[in-house]
Amino acid sequence: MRRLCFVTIVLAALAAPAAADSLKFSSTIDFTIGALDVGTVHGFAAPGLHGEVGVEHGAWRVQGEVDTALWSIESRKPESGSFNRLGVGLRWYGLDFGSGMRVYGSVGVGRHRLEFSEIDVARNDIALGFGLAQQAKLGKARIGANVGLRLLVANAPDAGVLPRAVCRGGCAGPSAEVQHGDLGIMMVMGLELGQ
Amino acid sequence: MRRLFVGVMTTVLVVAPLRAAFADAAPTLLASDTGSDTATDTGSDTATDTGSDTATDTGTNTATDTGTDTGSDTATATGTGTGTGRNSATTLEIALPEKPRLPPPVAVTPPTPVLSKAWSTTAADPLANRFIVLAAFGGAFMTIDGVGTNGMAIQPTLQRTFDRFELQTDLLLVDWNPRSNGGGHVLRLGAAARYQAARFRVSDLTLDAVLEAGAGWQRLMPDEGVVRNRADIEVGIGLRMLSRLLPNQASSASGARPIFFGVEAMVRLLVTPQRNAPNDVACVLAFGLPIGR
Repeated sequence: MRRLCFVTIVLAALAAPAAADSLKFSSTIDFTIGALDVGTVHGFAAPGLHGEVGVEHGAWRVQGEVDTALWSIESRKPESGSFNRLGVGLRWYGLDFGSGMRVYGSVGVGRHRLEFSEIDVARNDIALGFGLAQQAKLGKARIGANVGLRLLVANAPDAGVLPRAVCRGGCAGPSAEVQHGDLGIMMVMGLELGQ
Repeated sequence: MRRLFVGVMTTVLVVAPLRAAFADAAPTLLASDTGSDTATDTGSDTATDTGSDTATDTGTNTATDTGTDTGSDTATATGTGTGTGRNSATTLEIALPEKPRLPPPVAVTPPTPVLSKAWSTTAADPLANRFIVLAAFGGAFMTIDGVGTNGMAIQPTLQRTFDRFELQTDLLLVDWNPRSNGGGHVLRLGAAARYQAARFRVSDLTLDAVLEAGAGWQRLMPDEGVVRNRADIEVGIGLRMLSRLLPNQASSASGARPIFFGVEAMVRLLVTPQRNAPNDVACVLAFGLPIGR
């Protein structure tokens, strides 16, 4: 067992510098706007901030994700709540048009929380992304812009947690259940910074 | 010894004042020159003296010489020595410094333009044919089973352009805000044929007005109730600004195609024919940033 640990440590020590040469740190900071649902309650998330920090290796980036936004409900304006999310994801640059212009797709998992005066829902989600990014070298750094679309998929909460007061029109009754998962659709647009 | 000393002193005392007094006339008095004093230098800067100069000049000559060098290799130098007496100056040898040789003139050919046509799909119109990816975002105003609603929309889009003709496919996802018939989401997969009815080119920029017609398949996903599918037809208009970004020289030399980047806005009217109910309609506004090549 000791030998195994020793060999592992030696291999890791040798491999780390080689891997470090091909790893690059990069980040994204975006303005975001979108629609987020909780069961039968459809809310509007804006303005918002979406951030990503990750490590790139080739066409892949492992990233941490953070979101924060105001969350309002059409029938209850101007009152607004909040939307916050933390997650991890994987971004893949699938199409490279050259000159730093690339199309990317991403997938991630996270946990978000929606708070309103009568709603407080925290749940896990899956995030899917698609977008366009452009980067240019500025000295040793890279700087650019991106525009993208994001989709958040989460399980709908029990209808009992949703008060009828925030629903409009055909709000689900206490016994009703949403037939499919909740969806959040968002647009992001912002800056890319990296090594 | 005394005689020698007297002789030396006499020489110093007599000759020195005479030299000082007749310094200007020294050549006249002391120099004798016969022959012509025209020095010509032909060839590579070596003056030759034609004529017999048997002059010995022990005086002070105030000679002036002028040298002219014509041509790069056949320099001729003329030296003219003039004395201020009967006997003009003697031979002068003038060695002009050799001029550096200039390389022969070479015809300069203008550099090859960076805008090589190698990567251009069509030499006449490099903006014509392209493949575009569009991340579009917007909103939809629609009726579902006759009840009006609205919602935000996202629409990833692919386009292929053949001169003025375009093919497009897109995936539209709309948040269906709750109304009397509930809420939910609408997913639509569509395809359209498009035509650039008008376009305006400014250098590497194109402004296009595009008309489109197509059809799609809708999937209605209400919060409550059963998911159902239906078909629709659509017409629309798009306004687009697209600029061609120049690849670097390496890319150009390797035949890389140009890159396009711009902005596009589109308005689409969807009609969903229904047999036993009024037709549903929808207006979708989408705005996006296209890139492609």
